[in-house]
Amino acid sequence: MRKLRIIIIIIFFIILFMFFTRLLSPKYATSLVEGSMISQYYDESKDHEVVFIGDCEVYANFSPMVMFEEKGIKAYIRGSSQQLIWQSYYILEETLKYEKPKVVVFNVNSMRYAEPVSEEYNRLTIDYMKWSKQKVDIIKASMTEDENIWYYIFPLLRYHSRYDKLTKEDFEYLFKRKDNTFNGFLVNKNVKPVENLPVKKRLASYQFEDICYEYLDKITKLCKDNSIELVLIKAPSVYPYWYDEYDEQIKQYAEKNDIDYYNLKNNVEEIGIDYSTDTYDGGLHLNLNGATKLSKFFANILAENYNLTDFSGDKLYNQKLQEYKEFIK
Amino acid sequence: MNVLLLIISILLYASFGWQSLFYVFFSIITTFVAAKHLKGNNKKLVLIATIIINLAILIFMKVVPFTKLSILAPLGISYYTLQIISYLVDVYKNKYEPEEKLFNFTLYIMYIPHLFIGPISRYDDMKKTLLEKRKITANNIFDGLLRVGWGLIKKFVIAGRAAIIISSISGNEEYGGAYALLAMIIYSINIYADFSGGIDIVIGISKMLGIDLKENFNSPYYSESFKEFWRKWHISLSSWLKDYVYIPLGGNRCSTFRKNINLLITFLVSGLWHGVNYIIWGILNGIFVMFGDKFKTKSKILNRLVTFILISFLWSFFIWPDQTTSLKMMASVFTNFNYSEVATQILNLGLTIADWIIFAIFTLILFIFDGNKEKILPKLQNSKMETKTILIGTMCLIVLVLGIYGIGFNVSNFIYSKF
Amino acid sequence: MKKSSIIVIAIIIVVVIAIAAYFLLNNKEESNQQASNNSTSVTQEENNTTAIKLEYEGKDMTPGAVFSREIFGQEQSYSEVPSCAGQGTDKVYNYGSYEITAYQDGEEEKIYSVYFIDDQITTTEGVKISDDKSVMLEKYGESYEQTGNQYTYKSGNVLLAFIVENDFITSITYSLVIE
Repeated sequence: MRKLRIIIIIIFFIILFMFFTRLLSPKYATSLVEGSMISQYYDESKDHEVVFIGDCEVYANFSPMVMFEEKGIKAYIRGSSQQLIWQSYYILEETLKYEKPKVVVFNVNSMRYAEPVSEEYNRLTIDYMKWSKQKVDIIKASMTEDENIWYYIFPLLRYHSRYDKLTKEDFEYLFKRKDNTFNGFLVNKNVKPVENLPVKKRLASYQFEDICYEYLDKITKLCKDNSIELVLIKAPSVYPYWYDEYDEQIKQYAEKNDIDYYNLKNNVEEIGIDYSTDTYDGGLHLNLNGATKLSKFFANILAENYNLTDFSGDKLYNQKLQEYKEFIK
Repeated sequence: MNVLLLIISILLYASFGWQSLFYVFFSIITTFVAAKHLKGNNKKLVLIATIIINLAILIFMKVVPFTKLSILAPLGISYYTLQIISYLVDVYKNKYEPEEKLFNFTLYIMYIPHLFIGPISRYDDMKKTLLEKRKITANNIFDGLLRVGWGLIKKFVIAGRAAIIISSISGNEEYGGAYALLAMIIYSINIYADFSGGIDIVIGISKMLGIDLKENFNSPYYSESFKEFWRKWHISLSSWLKDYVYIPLGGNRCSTFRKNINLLITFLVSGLWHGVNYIIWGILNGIFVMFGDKFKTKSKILNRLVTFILISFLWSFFIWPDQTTSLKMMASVFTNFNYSEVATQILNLGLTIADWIIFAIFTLILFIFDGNKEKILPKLQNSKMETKTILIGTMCLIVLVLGIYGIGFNVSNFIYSKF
Repeated sequence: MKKSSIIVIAIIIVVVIAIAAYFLLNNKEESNQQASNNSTSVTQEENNTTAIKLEYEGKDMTPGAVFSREIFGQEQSYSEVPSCAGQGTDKVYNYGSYEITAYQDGEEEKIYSVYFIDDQITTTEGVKISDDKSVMLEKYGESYEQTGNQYTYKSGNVLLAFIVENDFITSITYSLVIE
């Protein structure tokens, strides 16, 4: 009897521990919403034919709902802030556990980063991934020097000192999640035209690091092994500069591996992007206007070249589309 | 089971630098062999030779930081050297027979929990509890866990916060006057919470293994004089100094003048043991012990307050990196009246308002507990297992949530393990 | 009493040795310190000429220095570069021949980096873009760190990086080391 009571007390404390973990972890619901994007995917219907992976240049620039309206494409964007290429790889691996899309679109911007920019960015991508082999791998690949894996296994160890930084959001979203994206697209309606940009600096080396190529190879192989068509893209951001030397390397890589590569910067006029109205931060990311134009354009490329099914009649997606239209009004 | 304990101890010790093992084993073997030969005519010679060899290593390690040599002092050397000396002297005086088995003697020295921060255990005490048969019981485990939890709270919740304030004050040479005074008082709390917290963890872990170690603190800040303080602070060191320095010097059994000289030498040794930077600290403590009793008043509270403040002043030598700066800072308290500035700057010392409140609450709890130990402890010991479980769980949560650790904070080193 | 007297003597000897050792070493240390003080003041004097500083048209442009329009005048163009998920914004001021990236430090803005745009601006030591690599070696010596065709000199928390192509300097950047 005594043993039972003690076990009950211990269980009570474990629940309390979990409660504090939840309370003190960032919710990414109304601020830093980029941190909740990865987890929204788990509740989606898993019948996408196109999956995007990559950094902010995918989740800010491509709207799957527009693609659906345009060509009946079911697409999902598994992007996150500063998603490094090894993170993209493991997220793709994880996605393939749930579904097998026909096309995977990878935005090559992250080829320029060979090491994590900061621990916080990693957190935005990793925190709300479900536990799996991929999550362990992604943590091991992304950890910065001061971290160890226990900080991820028990987020309380990482976030305990937030006790005096809690806001209303932390209580409001204690037991629920706020979905901020439409199939992974984060809507931003602000307008900040491209005006002045920093000068295009010369770099010591334009050669992508080995580790980036290593993971690009892995992504290529993973797609080949699953007979998925890999498509490389570079979103039409004007900054940070996508050097010609970068572009050349990707072109060569695509040619060598028989992959399609679209540098959408070359199609800006065709797409109709007007940098004085279509970006929300002076040229780094497109706003809703710009993303809509780009998505229409890219939906046509996808539909023409990759033998996708036209899901135009899909009930669920039409309902989603209505919600989306309501939201962007 | 003791075999396992020794293996774990050696492995853990080696993980901090396997080279250190060389020194420890050297000291263990010389002492073990010497103790067996402490009979016959050469008795004295053997004793003195062994002590000098081991002391020489200790002194050498203490002066290494002042030289250009880059030798890492073996962890816990200050502690095990004292244990070795006490063992040798006791065997010499026929207080007990030398240990027969090298294994047992090695375990006594290397028992990992007390090797790093003490308490400095005596062989005869440890023989009874560590080397002879003991039992692991549920009761011991619960009591041990309670003790460990309390130690962790002291270390991570109280000392962790205090350390942040201390480092932001001592890291800026312009912070004198009231800042220095604040640092001294906070440091009193810091070193006590840190050191006694560490000892609590050691005692708690030992308790769980069925080993009863001696207490090292007895509510030291409730002392009414320096004399009393040194009976209640770092008891294992003070009693070691008493038994192996003060009494051999003649102790109380001689003239007042000689007695005072003995006292001074004892505290000088204490200062030296902490490191060459603490000589003035040792001497000043000796002087306060000598004359402290003469200035006692009738008011208990006043006595305690004055003693606490004087002790805080002396901790200066532990706050600032060298003795000159420490003396300067002590002087600045009386020359630099920037109290109003400190009051406005208090939130810029590294702690937020919430941190200050938590720090204050737990410090208060610590002092209330210390003041009422006699009442609280028996009640705690006799309470139900369920109550103990709740207490342990609560303490764990407090440490996990309110402790200072993790990214951005690094206070995981115990202050007293560096001596 | 006899036994203990030996112990007393032993301990006193040890203490005396320790004290002697302390004062000996301390003196040595002090003299060392004095010596090193002397030497640091010497090196500091030397450093005043070799430490990496950037002065141009009488303005202190060393990374870490305060930036304001009062000092530098109206820029030719200004851009703000946010990063995704709002983790901080760089402020970039273009002055034609050079570009200053500034960061917010409390109330003030401070210079994070200076990038040379053309050969109108020279380093304090007179090196400019289009100079021969040998000029760089002559003025800054051999204590650089090389990665690819980039040569980086470090002093304190300032980095000075040259990119050399076909033996000509094609890029000069001063920047702050952030740790």
